[in-house]
Amino acid sequence: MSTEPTPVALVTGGGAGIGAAISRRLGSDGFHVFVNDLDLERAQGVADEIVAGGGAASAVVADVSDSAAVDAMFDRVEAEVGPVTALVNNAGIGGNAAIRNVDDEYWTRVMSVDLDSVLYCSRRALSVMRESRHGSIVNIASRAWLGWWGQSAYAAAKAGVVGMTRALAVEMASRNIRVNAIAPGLIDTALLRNRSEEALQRLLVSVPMARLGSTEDIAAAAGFLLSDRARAITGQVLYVCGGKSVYAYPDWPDR
Amino acid sequence: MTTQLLTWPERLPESLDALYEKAAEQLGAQVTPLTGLEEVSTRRSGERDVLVAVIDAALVSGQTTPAEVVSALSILAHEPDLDLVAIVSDGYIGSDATDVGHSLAGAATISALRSMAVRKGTTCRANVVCVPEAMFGIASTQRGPLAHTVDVDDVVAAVTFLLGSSGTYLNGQVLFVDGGRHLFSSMTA
Repeated sequence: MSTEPTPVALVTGGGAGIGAAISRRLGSDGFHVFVNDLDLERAQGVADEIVAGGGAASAVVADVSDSAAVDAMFDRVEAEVGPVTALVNNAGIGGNAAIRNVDDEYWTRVMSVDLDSVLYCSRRALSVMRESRHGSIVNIASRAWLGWWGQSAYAAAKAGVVGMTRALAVEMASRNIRVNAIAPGLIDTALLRNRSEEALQRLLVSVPMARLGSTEDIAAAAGFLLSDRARAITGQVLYVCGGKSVYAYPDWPDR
Repeated sequence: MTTQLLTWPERLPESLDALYEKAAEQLGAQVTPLTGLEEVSTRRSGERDVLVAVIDAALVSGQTTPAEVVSALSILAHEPDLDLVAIVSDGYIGSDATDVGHSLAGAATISALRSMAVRKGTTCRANVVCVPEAMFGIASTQRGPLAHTVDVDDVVAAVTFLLGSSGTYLNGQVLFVDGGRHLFSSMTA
């Protein structure tokens, strides 16, 4: 029997919001966490917090929509600590654009950050995991893939993430590698807090639990899915959305 | 007073032996067995109790019928301030072995819990754990792609995840603890 490799987690877009909460959670779960972000200061801030809390973490800057940058990032992680055993594809951009405003540039940007990045990071991580027969991936999808106003590009990218999650779950299962997705609903992040209170209340009508979720709710789900406690779970798309995914919106705008 | 883990039915198949005790221990709760789901309201402690109902265990033992499951679910739908997890077999997805009436009870359970999540979302959480038919002694040739055979600890982990502090924003969801079998069905994304 070989000894268990050091658990190493890589969280893309880990410098803020959901990614930061997942990074902190995996830090307290005993992973050496590599906090990826485009912004070194933000990533370093989260890594420092984890270290201050008694965990192990490092900041790593890379544009995950660039496959060469992704490969270089993984090379660095492997050289510094060891192969990634838990990958969280969290980096992404949101945005709200009616179809008439979805120009080629916008489409390409959304697809490359939200979907290409998942391919690049998963492909690179799995090239090692498949040999060691050890590891797990969690992709942050979105409830929005089911459909929402102004989300044609974002929903298409996140539907791509769901499809890739399920296909990789099947393809990697014989190697004992699990691939799951979390589809967050409305989560209390700076992104949502930028909206007016009135707009926020109007959005909450679509949530049976009538409140926003917290970034810790998403982090707890990621921690569970990446742990051995979820060893029988693969290909799951887990909606952490306060019941929004089972509801039909009662208050239709623009009609 | 301790939180109660209300459980039904009392008898579980061997594959799920000790499910209630293990889940209660991890949740810091005390097991209170129910002889029928309609007993829920009379056995509440006044604390924030939680309920685990293993629907298919009651069906395969002949303790209840699909029709009785449906009427028990409508009683549960009126129970306030109760977080619950129903455990159903994956036969409802489409099975080469599960009795049709039995599949229907699984689908009805999921449907009922989704409606509970919508109607009582501010006070209750209702989620489902879907497990392999084989756990109830149903010999299906269908299985998930993972080599691991689902065991009681996997089910305990899912139940405690959903009922504990990790699951507080999950409502109306189905967690598939099935080695990935659900993946092959269009009913499951």
